[in-house]
Amino acid sequence: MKLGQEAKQILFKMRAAARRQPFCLLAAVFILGLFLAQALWLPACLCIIIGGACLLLLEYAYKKSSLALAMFCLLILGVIWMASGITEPKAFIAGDGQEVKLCGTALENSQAANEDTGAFRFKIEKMNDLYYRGPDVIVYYRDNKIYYGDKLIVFGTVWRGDKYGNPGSFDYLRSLQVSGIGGTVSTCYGDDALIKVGIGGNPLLYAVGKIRAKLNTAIDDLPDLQSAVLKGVFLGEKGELSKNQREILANAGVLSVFAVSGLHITIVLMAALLLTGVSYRYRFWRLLVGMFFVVFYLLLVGNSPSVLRAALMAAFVLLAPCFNEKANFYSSIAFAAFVLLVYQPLQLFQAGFLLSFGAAFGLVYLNNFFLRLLPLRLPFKHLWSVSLAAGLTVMPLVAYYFYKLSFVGFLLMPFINILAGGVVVLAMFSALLLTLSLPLYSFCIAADGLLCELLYRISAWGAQLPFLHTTVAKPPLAVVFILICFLILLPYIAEFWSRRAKVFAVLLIPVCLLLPYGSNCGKLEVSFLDVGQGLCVYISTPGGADILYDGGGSFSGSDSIAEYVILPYLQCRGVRELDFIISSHPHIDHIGGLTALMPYIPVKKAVTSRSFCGNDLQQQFLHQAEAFNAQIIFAEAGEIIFKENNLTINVVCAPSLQHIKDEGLNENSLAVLISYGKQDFLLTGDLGSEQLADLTSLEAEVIQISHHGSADGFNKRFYNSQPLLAAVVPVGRKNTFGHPAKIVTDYFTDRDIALFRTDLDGALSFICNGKEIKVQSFSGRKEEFL
Amino acid sequence: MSQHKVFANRVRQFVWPQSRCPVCGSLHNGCGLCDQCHELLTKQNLCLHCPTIIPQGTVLCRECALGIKNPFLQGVSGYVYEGRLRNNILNFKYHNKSELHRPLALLLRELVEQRLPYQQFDLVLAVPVSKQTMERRGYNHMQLVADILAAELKLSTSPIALRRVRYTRKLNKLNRSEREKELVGAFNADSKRVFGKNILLIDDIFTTGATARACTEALLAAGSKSVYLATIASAVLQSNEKYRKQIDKTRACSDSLKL
Ligand SMILES: [Zn+2]
Ligand SMILES: [Zn+2]
Repeated sequence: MKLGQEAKQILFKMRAAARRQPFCLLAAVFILGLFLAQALWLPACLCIIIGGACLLLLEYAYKKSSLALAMFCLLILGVIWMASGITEPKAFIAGDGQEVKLCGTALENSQAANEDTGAFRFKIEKMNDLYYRGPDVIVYYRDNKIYYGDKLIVFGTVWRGDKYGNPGSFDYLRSLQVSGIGGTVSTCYGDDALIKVGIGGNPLLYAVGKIRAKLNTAIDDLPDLQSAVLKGVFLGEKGELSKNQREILANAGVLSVFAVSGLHITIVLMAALLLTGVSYRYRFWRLLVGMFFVVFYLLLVGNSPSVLRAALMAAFVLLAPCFNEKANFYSSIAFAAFVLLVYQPLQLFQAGFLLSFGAAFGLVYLNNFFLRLLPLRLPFKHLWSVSLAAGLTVMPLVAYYFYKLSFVGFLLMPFINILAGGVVVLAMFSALLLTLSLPLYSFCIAADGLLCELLYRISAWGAQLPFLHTTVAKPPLAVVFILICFLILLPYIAEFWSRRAKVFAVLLIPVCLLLPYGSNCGKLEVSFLDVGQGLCVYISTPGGADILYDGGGSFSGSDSIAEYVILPYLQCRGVRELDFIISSHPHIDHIGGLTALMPYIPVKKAVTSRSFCGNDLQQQFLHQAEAFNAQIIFAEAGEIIFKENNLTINVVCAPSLQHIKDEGLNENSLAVLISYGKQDFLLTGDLGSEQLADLTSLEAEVIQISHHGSADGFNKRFYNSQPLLAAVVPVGRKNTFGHPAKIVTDYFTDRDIALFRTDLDGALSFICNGKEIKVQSFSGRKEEFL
Repeated sequence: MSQHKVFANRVRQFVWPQSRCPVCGSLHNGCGLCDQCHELLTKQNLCLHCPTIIPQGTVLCRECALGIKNPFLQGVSGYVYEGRLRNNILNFKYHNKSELHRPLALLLRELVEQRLPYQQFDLVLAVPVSKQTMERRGYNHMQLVADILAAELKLSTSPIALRRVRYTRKLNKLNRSEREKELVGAFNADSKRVFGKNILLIDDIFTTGATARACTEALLAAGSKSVYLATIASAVLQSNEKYRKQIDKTRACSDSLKL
């Protein structure tokens, strides 16, 4: 009874507070409409919408509240706006792998995408000599200096981006499409791939582009680390930071200063207003001067959602005094959200957008709560409370999108923010000096470089503090939603709590995020990841050991599979270290990913065979394992490499020869049998049919079809001998080898055994409790008990 | 015309909401007075001739009792110039808090509707500031209030009908006779705009009434039919210390009534 009354009071207070910010309330309702239209299952969405709309209409009819009517309209508008698909991003019309000739204009200066590749946004006017209307593309190229406004002819291959169906993988193409980019084109004919034919575009942007180019050259003179950090902090270009440096910054929780955001815009604005000294009585001039600098900075760094948000908010804040009004934070953030979401509603589901708005909102909303919570005499109390408020709000989002939980950020952010402020002001100053072509800028940039070095060193120091950052399993959306609602309610429900209770309430959030979501407690899980053409199996034992059998790898030799597919998958599962990695044989599509993975995640033991030692890839693998302190185990056939209560992992097939030639690698794969209770899983690598013939004595329920379903790994007699429930073909989409062979698929169709394919089903998880096996596929196509 | 302005004000309240009562600072829904302060507004005991707030049971303030004649027909004021209201008015005038014009205008509207319900007005005029002051502040604070008040009362207003033609020293350091002397010929009314009109003159504080009297005289000299005065607050003079105490008692009394 008492609890009910309290809840009623809290609701009443929140309602009153919400009514005091009507503009913000309307934006929130609009966003809710967008969210419902996109995220939920249709009937549930309809129920919620109709229910909410009825409530709002009742309120209007009963209390004649025009706000309720406006809320109703905006809710419906949000749903319609999202559901109508007017703003649905368009894909580039040319198909994957198609070679095209494009004429058009570069929309930005080229930026380093990684060590030897640059990229820029390109507006197409003609494609294959036909006029073209559609989304822009990103062009990847080598060794060319491209600036905004360059008119180019590009010869390249359309690449839509590999799409892997794994939990935790990042949909790069989708994120491009949301920002109005249809696809990517990579140039492939060497020097003739790009031809400059003139200059075009907006003259103002062209001039700013030139300044940015000059600034970039000036920054390039600095030592590597300094220039990479300065470009990251001032221009938001993270391409020059190595993956390792980025990981350090992410662990320190300071990556937010490497995305141009509200902090930067605020600093630029404050510096501009202080320097020009325009006072309140010239409010209109203040608006003009302030926006001049903000727009200059905006053009300089390009438009990411966080910069646009900050610039819109700045404009709104400066506009208020012109109407003799007081700037209102909530209204301005609502205004920014409105503008950005009406323009592109799908941004609502992008990490960058959510983090930017979440941090800004939380910073103001929870600031008072933390000011009261912190000790009375704490020095720089405001800095701490701001960093806590922003950090705590984005914590569930960071866990959801990046699987990271960092407390170092709370310690470092106050100092890092001040340093970043200094870096931005100095860099902005040198940009202005460059614009006016004064010679002093090099001193400014040199000083700025030192500040950047300091910033990086402090972050690196913080990142190596123990226990303060960790990888967490991806929390379900519902948990994130509940935690955010809890944060919004927190100042109201905790108003009269004791300090200790408040601290517990705050600590509840990281604790909730540390729970092992998605783990199958006490069950064996064998998951076949979708790594394109290649094999990667993740095994999680009932006792909690994490094992990787092969790691995929791309034939082009880049590390991208390990970095963009396997690592995100492991992180999303909350795997902090691997107990075993097992390499079946040293072919790039099996061992490549394992070798590349070791720098990113600690590995205790690496299992392989002594017979492969003559191979180059094997040598690389062994070196890497040594470098990262993994114990190397050379397994023999029949050896039990892992044992736990009911579970054994047994090497059933290993090369018998001392030295194996390169052409014999496939047939001599290290095959393992995982036995848990009555159920057996057989992982065969790329074994040939001859070797399979020796394994007929096994009784496996689930088999990984050897050699990606190739005909030369097919042995009918062997498969006939097995009590199979399911078979898995790890195979790439549209692979050039023609895998899996028709004879293989036909065999399983005839025998009526479920055949799963990673190219069609995405990642496949087999969850086994020792008696029965359950399958889940990423595509959701199949979910059943075998 | 005034309909548009009222709507514009609603939009402003929507986009840049202000929900603190200008008098007591409590939060409530919407701009303007909170319920308690609204109630207090009608309980204040005003002098019959001038906007001074006087103790319950008395009829005239000391000035009026001494026979000082006010040229305006009637003067009303809302609250005693103290506490948060005083801070708000000071911030409004001197510290760039121009956004306070909206709640203060709504305060004045309530005041006029409560205290001068039957009077007919044609024109709302604000006590003008000199050019120098205007330049320094960047806005004419009472004219901002007059704009909104006129729209709310469906009247017209004009920033140039009444003008301060001469720069005057700050009055708050001067005594009464010095004030009168300082303000002689300081105001000038445009007879084309005010001739034959019933005028509602508004100001922020009523202290000795010297400014208001000077303005009223200028308006009457230009041919206005009548002048009423509405001020947000009335100050308590140093010499009226005795009265001040009584007023405090009255407030305490009205507070207890409220409970
Ligand atoms: Zn009040
Ligand atoms: Zn009197």
